[in-house]
Amino acid sequence: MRKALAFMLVVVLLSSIGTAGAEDASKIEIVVFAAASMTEALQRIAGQYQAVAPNVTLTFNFDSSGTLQTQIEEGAYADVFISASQKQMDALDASAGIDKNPDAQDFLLQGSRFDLLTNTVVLIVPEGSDKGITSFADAGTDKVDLIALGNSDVPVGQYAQEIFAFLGFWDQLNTAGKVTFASNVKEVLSQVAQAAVDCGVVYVSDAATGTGITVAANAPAGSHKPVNYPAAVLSNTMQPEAARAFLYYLKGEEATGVFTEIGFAIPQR
Amino acid sequence: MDLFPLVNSLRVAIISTALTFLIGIWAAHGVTRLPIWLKGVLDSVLTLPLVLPPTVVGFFLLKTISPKAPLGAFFLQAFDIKLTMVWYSAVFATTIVSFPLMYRTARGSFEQLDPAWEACAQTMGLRKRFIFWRIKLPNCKAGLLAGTVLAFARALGEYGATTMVTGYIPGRTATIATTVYQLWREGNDGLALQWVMIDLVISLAVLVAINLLELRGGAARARSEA
Amino acid sequence: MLEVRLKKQYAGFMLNVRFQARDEVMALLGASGAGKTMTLRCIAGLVKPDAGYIALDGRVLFDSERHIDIAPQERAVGLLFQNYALFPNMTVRQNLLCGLKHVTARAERNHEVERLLTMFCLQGLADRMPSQLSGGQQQRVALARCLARKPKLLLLDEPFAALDSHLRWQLEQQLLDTLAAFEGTTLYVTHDREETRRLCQRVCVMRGGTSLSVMDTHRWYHTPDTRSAALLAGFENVETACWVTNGYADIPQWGTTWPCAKADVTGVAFRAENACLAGIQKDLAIRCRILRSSEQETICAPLGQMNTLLRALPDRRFAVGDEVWLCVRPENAIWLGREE
Repeated sequence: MRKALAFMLVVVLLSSIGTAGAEDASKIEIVVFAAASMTEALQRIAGQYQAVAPNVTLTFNFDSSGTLQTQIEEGAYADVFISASQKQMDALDASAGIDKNPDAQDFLLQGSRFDLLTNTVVLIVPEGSDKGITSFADAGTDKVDLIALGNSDVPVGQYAQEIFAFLGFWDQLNTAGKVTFASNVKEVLSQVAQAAVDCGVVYVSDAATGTGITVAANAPAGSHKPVNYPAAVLSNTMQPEAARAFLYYLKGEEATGVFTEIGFAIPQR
Repeated sequence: MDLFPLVNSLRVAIISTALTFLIGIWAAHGVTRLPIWLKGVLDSVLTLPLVLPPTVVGFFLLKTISPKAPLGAFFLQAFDIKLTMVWYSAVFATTIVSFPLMYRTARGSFEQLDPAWEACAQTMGLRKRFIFWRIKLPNCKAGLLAGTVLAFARALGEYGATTMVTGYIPGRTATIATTVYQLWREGNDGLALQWVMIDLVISLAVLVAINLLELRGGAARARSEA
Repeated sequence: MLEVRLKKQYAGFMLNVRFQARDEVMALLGASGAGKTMTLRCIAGLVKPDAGYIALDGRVLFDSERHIDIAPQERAVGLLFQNYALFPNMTVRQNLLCGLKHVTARAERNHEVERLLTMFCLQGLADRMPSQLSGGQQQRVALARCLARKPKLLLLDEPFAALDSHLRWQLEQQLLDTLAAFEGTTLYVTHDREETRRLCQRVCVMRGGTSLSVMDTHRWYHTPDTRSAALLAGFENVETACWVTNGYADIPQWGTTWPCAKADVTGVAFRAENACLAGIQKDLAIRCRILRSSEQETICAPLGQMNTLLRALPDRRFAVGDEVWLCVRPENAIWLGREE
């Protein structure tokens, strides 16, 4: 019995050493921290990338950009970071200036940052909703009792605040207690789909992948700063070539096809 | 500083503790009188929320009281009452998660009672109701108090299930726990810490008060046995 | 008048009890585990027998055939538990009041409480908690509480088991008085034969869950009819016997044959206090050798059966090792029959 156990232990040790070595030789793992709104798009692209670079395994961490920024600052390992707004990327960029990067952090590989995507902010309502909500302005009326927004740590939440300030009733929304704040976009989608709230503000790319919701309106023109998704390689990366190669692929035709299908747009670069 | 989270947390915790107290004792007393096999099954079911992660409890709650879920839709259509995204949604969540604590403690207390008392009382012509209120309950005071404290503490500290059913509406559904989380997420550590301290003070105050009560109860008993 | 017939199977044990009791104190006598307490609980209605019939003063309390099962609250039966079961969260007065719920007028209730306190010598203890009372006081309170409701049947479960022996005598006297004043049947569960002899008029012996026939205490004590009854009655010398020929029974273990009129005899018994030693054979005798001699008794063994022990009166005339005749007068030799 003991001999059998000892034998098994040796086999396990050897095989782990063996595979570790093998990984160094051929398999590469790229860790991608990306905004939650890119979940479906990036997962589809990962499938395509398997054919292009079979020795590369993509590992994703999808969450709100704010959470990802915090994780990177706390020392979490990642090769690539794609944020849903400039704010989080700026905070990590040494070249962003003292007001955007107050702690003078330097997490990005200089020269690798670029704007990957843009997105549109939309107002969504539960499928089959009979409240007659057709525009962002309706949120300020009695038609809307409760609206779900991302909190100030979530990029789409910041844009929503900008939009309602632009429309002139952000403060009223708050004092009337009409806003429930969510920690990320997926929460907003789920609350609208459940009809727990009358409407919510998300990106069109999220609305495209959500079920049980309908897009009621686009954000009025000029109501918020353009939504840009910056992407960059992180300075701690252990395989800069592979990371750069993946980001390059994301700019390519195949990846662009997936992005636009879901509702993202490609910015002028 | 807006004190709504404090008021709301206390109100939710007090209401849910009162509910758990009543339902927990009733269930514990009922279960002790069941045949052994049924007792085991019910016991496991009623203790389940203690073992399940609160988010699992929240998930099941949403599947029941969401506006599109069976119970939620019924209340909305029949009485125009929302069951989620309101302050009392937290009461559902906290009652469910703190129920097992009251239930198990109460059951333990009831099972430790001398069965001769009930038997004797029956032969003396006393009815079930009298036996429960005047003989069983008074002799379970210590255990029931302990259960109540546990339930209250758990209710005050509930986060996972609560946040799923109440969301976070400042001034309407915010509790201390959800407020601390949101403040931390927004990077407002200073205010978050203030709320953490408030919560600590309340929790300590409650526990100290209960310990004092227990001590006094113990001293009274010791004096009567002298 | 109490009529009981019941059968119950529980925990690998079969209870089969059958007896009738009049307005008297009747003992349920048996060793521990003989089913006595379970019988009481069935009569009180706390446990449901598998089959049977229980009737008290003509009122049916339980009848398995007609599906009658009166709740314990309605049976007018008082049950005194071994550990008294006083409610620890109530004072003596409150405990007594629990038994007086049937009295609607408050003044009358208080009057009853005072009466019970006096009757059981509990004055001054009314406001004490049970934990502040001595064992004897607790027993009196429990008894008072039992009787408060004026039951028709009193069930006492080894009332003195929890008390020191030097307390018992006094309490026994009190209990005797109480039971004498009680108008109804009392069932007295015990394993102590002296208690039975002192307090009870009739005895129902229980063995292994089965009740044997009910006997007058005096008769049972002096002339038991079975081996187990004899042993329970405290006969020190009990042995098997077999009817040999007309008028004689052979007792192999004693190596002797005695005249016996009972044809279906299975055993014989006599008390040590009725066995004396003599140098010559007289009455019914056994030839034995003395093994031990003390001031309380003599222990000897029949010649040729050194393993069988006999107990007799002390007798300093003889010494250890002597061969003597152990003599028993014919009226003191009790012939035993088959167990039922």
